[in-house]
Amino acid sequence: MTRLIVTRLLTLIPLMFFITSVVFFLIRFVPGDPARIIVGNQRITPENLENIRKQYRLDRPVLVQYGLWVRDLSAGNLGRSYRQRTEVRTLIVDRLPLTLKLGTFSFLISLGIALPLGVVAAVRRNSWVDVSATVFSLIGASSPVFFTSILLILLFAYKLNWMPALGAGDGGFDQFKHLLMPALALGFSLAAITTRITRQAMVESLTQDYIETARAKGLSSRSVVLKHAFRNALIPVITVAGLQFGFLLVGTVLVEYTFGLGGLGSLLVNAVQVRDYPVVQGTTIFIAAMFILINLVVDVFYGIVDPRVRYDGRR
Amino acid sequence: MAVGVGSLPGNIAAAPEAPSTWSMFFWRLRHNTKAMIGGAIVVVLLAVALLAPLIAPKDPNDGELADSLAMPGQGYVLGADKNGRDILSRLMFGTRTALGGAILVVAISEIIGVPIGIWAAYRGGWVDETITRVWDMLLAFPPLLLAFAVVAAFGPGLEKAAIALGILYVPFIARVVRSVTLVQKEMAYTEAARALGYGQGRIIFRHILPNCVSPIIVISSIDIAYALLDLAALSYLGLGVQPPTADWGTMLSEGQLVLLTSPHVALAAGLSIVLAVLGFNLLGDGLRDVLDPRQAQR
Repeated sequence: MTRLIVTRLLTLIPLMFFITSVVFFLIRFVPGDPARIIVGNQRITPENLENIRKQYRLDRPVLVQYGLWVRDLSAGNLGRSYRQRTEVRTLIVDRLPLTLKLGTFSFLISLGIALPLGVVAAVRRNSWVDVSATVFSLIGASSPVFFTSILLILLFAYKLNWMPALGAGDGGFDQFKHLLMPALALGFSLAAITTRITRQAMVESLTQDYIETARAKGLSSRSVVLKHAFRNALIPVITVAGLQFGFLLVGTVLVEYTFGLGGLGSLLVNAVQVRDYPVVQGTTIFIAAMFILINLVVDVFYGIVDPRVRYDGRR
Repeated sequence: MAVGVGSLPGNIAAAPEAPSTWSMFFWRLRHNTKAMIGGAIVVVLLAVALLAPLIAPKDPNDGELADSLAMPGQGYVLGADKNGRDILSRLMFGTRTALGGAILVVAISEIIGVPIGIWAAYRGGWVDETITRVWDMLLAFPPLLLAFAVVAAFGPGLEKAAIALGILYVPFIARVVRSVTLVQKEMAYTEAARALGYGQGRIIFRHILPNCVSPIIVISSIDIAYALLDLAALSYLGLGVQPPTADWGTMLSEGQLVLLTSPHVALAAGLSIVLAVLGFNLLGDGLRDVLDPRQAQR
């Protein structure tokens, strides 16, 4: 197991390096003077402009900037925002909890929908449940999450007046109420794919010989489905759920924007809109790191569920 | 018993000609509901995109401010937006933006991805190893997040967004082409061609590439669906298509501002996106069932 973790960690280092370099150099290729972007439309003396260049190290050669930036990065220092005059790290730490709550909540909702729906659809193949599951996953996968959000706002906030349309609430139950709709929107989108995979995996596992044997032994249908078929169907489902993490990240960005939630996603989108490079760099890299870590966790989890993975250290 | 053997040559002579690969393909296609529904949606959308200037009832960019946010019916089939522009006409012209952008994304990814896939499979060794490592990394990372960084650097716009996404989509196609090439490379006829002394170029173009066509078609359809979603997302966030160009994503975000009073603006744009994505998804799924390239799973 330790070997598995170490091998995975080692392959993740180049990925991290790749993403940081891409993000750094991409932004350095931009025509125009970053110092001017920092200043915006304000009038400024040439001396002050020079000071700003110094302050943000823009007067150094690009490779030196990169070296210093990587050094800072490894110390956990992500630089300062051009616009908000704060450390990028502080901004991220402030915004992170909301995004984490939204992401976890959405993920749980998606599993809550997808697992039962996929299992029932597979057990009762070609029934109305199966057909609706197929239609649900097709439409769910084709509807952009921000449109699903808008539909939910129309229905639950404007027509039925059950839930608040925008904002993140004041913590506690109020925040739960505010996060419910965004999480539902994202949960639906995620569930579309997971439902399909769960159904496929269950159909496959229900046609195996050991299911026949279990039935022949006289086990109850419930025990056959849940204990024998579902356990084995879980492996592909975990893989896909892990892969979906990237989708979940992009989803939180979009959903936060639609619902006006001040999480990591809206921090990134706003930074892109006003070209606040350090924030764009910092958030992208932070999200990438999070993404990589979660993938590692999924891999390890995979090793726990499926002992075969443990031995050769890879799938 | 002997009768059967004796009449065999006659039976063979009378047997109808075996159906060609193409007629088999169309027969299976016609019997695939997904492919037919998806194909119909795609054909209609392409027709609308091509004929937009002819069939759109009004100028998509010319608004009558007095008709701001007119409801559907009042002289406007689907109503008017905040600037009094005809929503139906904007949707029709939006089809051009959406399909044009998505097809551009996929075309870029294929122009780069197909040669890379073939090259990786052909060269093998460290070239293959390096290339697959890089795209494994890219595959794991959502394209939209990196597209944000590109937009932050170069500013918003459809072309920039499409180029960025096109490059980020390369691994999806390259991976499939590589695996098909790996299989074809070892086939007896490829070996025969090599034994006959044909050059690599001829083998690649005459033998390998034709076998990549059907998986490429499947992936294209599914990738267009993804590209439609990603481009719509960028435009929705104000990072893709810029106003006043008619575009579904931009219309959706404009519609969201007037959602309470005039939900028809957002609904029309959103449903168009869903329909288009659904069409390409269904077509891709259906074609996959028909052509059955096992590598096409994504």
